[in-house]
Parts: sequence; structure tokens; C-alpha cells
Amino acid sequence: MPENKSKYYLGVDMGSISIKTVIINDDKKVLYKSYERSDGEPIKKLKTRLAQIKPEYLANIYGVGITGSGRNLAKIYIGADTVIDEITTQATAVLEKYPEVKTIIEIGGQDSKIIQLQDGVVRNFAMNTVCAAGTGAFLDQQAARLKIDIKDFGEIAMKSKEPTLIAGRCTVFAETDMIHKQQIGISVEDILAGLCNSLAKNFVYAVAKNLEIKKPVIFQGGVAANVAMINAFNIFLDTQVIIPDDYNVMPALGAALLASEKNLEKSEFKGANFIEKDIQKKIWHCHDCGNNCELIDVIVDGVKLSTTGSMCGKHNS
Amino acid sequence: MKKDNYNRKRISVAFGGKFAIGAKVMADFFGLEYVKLPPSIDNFRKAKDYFPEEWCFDIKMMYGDILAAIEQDVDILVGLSSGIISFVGPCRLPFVAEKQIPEKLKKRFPDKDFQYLYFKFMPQVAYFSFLKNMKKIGINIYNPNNHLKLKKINKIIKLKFKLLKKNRELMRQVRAQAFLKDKKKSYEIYKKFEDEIFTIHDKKILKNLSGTCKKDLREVSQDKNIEILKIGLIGDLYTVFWEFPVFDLENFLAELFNVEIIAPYSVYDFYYSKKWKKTKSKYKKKYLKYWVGGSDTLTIKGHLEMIGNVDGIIQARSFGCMPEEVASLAIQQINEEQKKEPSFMILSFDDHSNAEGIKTRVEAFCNTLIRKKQHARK
Repeated sequence: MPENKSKYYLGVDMGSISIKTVIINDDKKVLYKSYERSDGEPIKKLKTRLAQIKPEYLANIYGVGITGSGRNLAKIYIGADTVIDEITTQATAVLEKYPEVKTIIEIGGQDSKIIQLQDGVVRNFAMNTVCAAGTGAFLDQQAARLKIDIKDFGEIAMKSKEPTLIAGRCTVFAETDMIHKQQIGISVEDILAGLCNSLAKNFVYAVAKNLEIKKPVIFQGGVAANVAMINAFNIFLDTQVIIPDDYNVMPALGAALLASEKNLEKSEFKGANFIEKDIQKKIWHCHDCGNNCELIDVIVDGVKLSTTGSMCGKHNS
Repeated sequence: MKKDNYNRKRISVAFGGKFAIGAKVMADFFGLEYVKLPPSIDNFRKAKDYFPEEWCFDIKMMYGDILAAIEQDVDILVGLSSGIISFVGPCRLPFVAEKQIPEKLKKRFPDKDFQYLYFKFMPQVAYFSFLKNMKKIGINIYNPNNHLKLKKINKIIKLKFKLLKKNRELMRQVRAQAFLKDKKKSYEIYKKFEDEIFTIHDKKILKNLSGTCKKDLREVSQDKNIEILKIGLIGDLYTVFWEFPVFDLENFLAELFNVEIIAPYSVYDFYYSKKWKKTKSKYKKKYLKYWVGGSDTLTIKGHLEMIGNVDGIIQARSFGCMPEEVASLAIQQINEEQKKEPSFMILSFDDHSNAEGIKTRVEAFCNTLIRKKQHARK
């Protein structure tokens, strides 16, 4: 009886260092969510992750939304009904659950964003430009350098009594500063807390720039797991930032919500069977002009499915 | 040294971009072979290797072109800048083009045999700068025939730029409402016209080609019910100089969304529009006291013209371009003065630009505008 069948919607956020998946039902309730590091193998990880989702959900997918920096590639692999940018998906998820929020702060693996909301839509947004200072990848690097598990970063920093001053504008200068502070004997917790403070300041000065940070403020993205970063924003913005339950999967949730809005009778989702197929990538260069584009062929079961990466569009398919 | 069948001297213009169309006319009329330099990322990469000390993207583009021209064994290399070296302002291009480039080229390519000329292409002094350079390459500027030729050249260039502007505007309108499968076709029709007129200098043929282009564009099937998004494109990078420096912004926008690009000025306006001269004094007085080089006032004026007439405005600028940076500050002031702040985004480009990052920003900007429109309707 197809008319009584439950409908599910899949949201995928193919981020720079992690993959987030969400399944929601018609009532927009989150039934399944996962956050996983991609470890340089995003497609392999996505396949593994999808294979772990209940077959009942996968068999009744009526909409797939994909977002994140790898969204176009992921679309080729699993099929999608909505392929959309992270700003829109973040805002959609926040507005669904926290309609009172005026500002979204999002810090992910390689980018950070500020989104201003007004009357239920995005009013303005800004992203980090040419520098990754203050993003999750930098915190990861520093944790690894100090031989600290990234999961413990926040807890250790919260033990600080006297956070030190760290130059947060540039990752190179910040690292130099941290090494110097270590050399002069400042404790690891004070250095980590100082780093969080400087990254919060950097966010406001370098990412938000002229955008007003109106309250209430919501803080999401992988870095929102770091309690010391939350604390730094609370102090610096003089507010209690909201941390949503699904803070690390919000774009995936937004993508699923947008896919569900389409009310489709049939999804472009390639189905659970596709997960089992042999997927290969072939990377080659076009030398027809000086751009020397790096092109990626996606080959599924020996058949070329698509080519991406051509700047002039000649080879894209 | 490479020579064509007529043993003509080979000339090329660094940082020529869309000005190449004009340079080709001049070269052909004075018996020179024009070497066209299509912009490519490879040129910028080479520029970075040879001249790592440069950070302004405009200057890197110029060096990239110079290296490409040297590789093609040109006899005469022209460096352009919209400024004069003694002028007040933060634009470094005149200084670099007039002083630094010839010195660096001498040091780094001591064995290469070419002549470097510096040409100020700002409208007020372009003609005199051109005459001075003609003298340097042995063309008698006192010969009345040459003056007649110059007059004709000017007319042809003006006509070409004007036809390009008109057809481009039409192509933008058509493409915005064209069915998805025909969006590319609209651009190809225009591009064919642009390529064709590069080598043709006959007024009648040019007008005929333009007519064909218009006719072909009007025949592209369109869906008049499609809701289009109007986006104003300002900043000299994509409007006056290049089309495809590192990211094909206009085509990306037009093919992904039903976007009509509105560029308030083009290379035609930069050179020939009388409005531009008037604009300078009007907007300078209010937002800029001095001319800071480049197309600062053009960007400011463009922004003011776009407010209220488009859904959103994008300022596409070169990374490190100080006049564009100053224009951004003036725009910020303008936006704050408005009752309803316009949707505005700055995109900064250089050879480090990450295409995926730019795409995300552009997509997010368009999606925001679409949702704002939908929300306003509700």
C-alpha cells in the first residue's frame, strides 16, 4: 500500500574533513544522524555510512539533499534532488528549529561563516576568504602538534586560569606564537585557552568584519564541540551562544529539509544497490589551453558516468 | 625571430584583455602582426614563478601576459595602465608598468630582443600616449595619411566596442530566459560574433555580422514565464578587462540560475562614453576626493546605478587592487545610506582563488536572493 508508506528524506553534507548524514521523516523528525571524519576518502566513507543506515529508510527515500564542498561529486555517486550551498542549508535547519535566532556562527573544517537572519530568510552572510586561520583544520593541527586528542582539546583549555595571548590572524603566526609561549614555560591549558580566545576574536574581526552580530546567536559546525571555543564566544560576544542538539550535522539536516519541501513522488536517489557498485576515479589533465585543468572521470562498474573539473566546460558532463 | 609571410613586426599588448580588439585594428592598419594572448591560468602561474614578489593580481596578470608574449617571440611588447605615474592614488600599476617592468625584463631576459613600450590607456591621455609610442616604433606621426588612418582606426574600434556591448546585453537578456539546453547556445552565438569581428575592420561587414548575431539570439527559444534574477556586476575585472581570468563568473551564474547579468559599464563606456567623464567629478566629490587610479569611480557609479534596479550586486575585484578596495569602502558608505540596504557581495580573485569556494559564495548569494523574493511575495 504505497500511499501509507512512510516517507524518508536523506541529507548529506560532504564537508572538507567530515561527512554528515541525516534521515528525517515527514514530520521533520531526525531519525538517524552521523558525523564522521572522511580521512581523505570521502566517497568510500559515504558508501560505508550509507550501508549502515536501516534498509527500511533507504528503501523509502523520497528526497535527497546534498550540500558541502563535495556536493557536486556526491550527487554523481548517490543521486540527489537538491544540491545546494551550505549557507542555505544551515539557515534552513536553524530556522526550522530555532526561528528566533538572528545570527549563525559556523566553524567547520576549512571554512567559517557568519549568517545573518531576518524575517525568516538569510539577510547577509560572509565566509573566510583566502585564509583558513581559525577553522577546525587548524585546531586539529595544533592538537596533533601538542599530542592532544582533539576531543579533549576543549576540556583541557577550560582548566586554564590565565589564558595567554596568541596571535590568531594567521595560522603561521599563531603557531609561531604558541611555540614561543611553550618555550617560555606557559602551560598547555593556558596556551589552548588563549588560542580559543584569539580565534573567537579573529572570527569577529576577519570573518564577520562589518556584519553586526545580533542576538540570539547560534554556534554550530564541528568546532562547536569544543567547550573552550563556546566559552570564548560567550565572553567575547557577551551572550550565551546556543548550541543546537544537531550542531555538527545542521547542513545535512537543512539539505534533508529542503529535499522534503519538494514533495516528490520519486527521488533521484540511486538506491542502496548503488552503494555496492564498484566506483573508480580517473584523474587526467587537459592540455588544450594554458589552464591545464585537472579533470576527474567517475567510473561506475567500468562505465564512465561523468567528468568534472573543466574550467571552460568543454569536458564536463 | 618568428615572422609571418609579410615579414611584419610582431606586436602584443600585455594586460590587454578586451582591449586586444582595439590593438588588433591598430596593428593591422600600421602593418604590424598582432599576437593575441588569451588569458590563461598558466600565465599567472608562470608570472608567480618569475616574479614571486608581486601580490597585486592585476600586476601578476600583466607579467603573465608579458611572459606569454616573450615565449611567442614578439618584437614589440606594450604594457598598459589606466593611470599616470605621478598621479595621486594607491594604484601601483602605472609605476610598475612604466618603471619596474622594463628594468626587470632587462635583468631577467638580457638575451631577448624586443622593444617594451608603456601605454597609458586612460581616456584623457590615451591618444597622446599612443602617438608617442608610434614614434618610438618608427611610424611617422606627422604624415597626414597616418592621421587619417588613426581617425579611421578610432571609428572602427568605437564601432566594434559598441556592437559588442549591445550584443552582449542582448545575449544576457536572452540567456536569462532561455531554456536550460539553450543557455549555452546563446553564449556561443555571441562568442562567435566576438571572434569573427576580431579580424574584420570593414564597417559594413561588422554591422552585418552584428545583425546576424542579433537575429540568431532572438531565435533562441525562451520561456517568458521564467522568473529571472537580476544581478549587477561591478568592478573592472570582469566588465572592462577580462572575461575569464581564473573563474568564469558570468557563465557560471547564467547557467546555474536564471540570472540576467547587468553590467552598468563596459570597455566601450570606459573609453568612449561621455557620461563617464561627467560621472568622475560628480561621484568624486561625494565619495572620493582624489582619483585613486583604475576604475574606482566607474565601480562606484555602477553600484549607485544598480541600486533599486537589480536583486543583488556583486563587486568582482582583483586581489590586491587598491582602487577597487577604496571603491568597496565607498560602496559600504553608500549601502549604509540607503533606506533598504541592497544585497551586495564582494568576490576577490587571484591565482590562489579556490573555484569551489567562489561557487559556494555565488550559489549562496543567488539562493539568498531567490528566497528573499519568495519571502517578500508571501
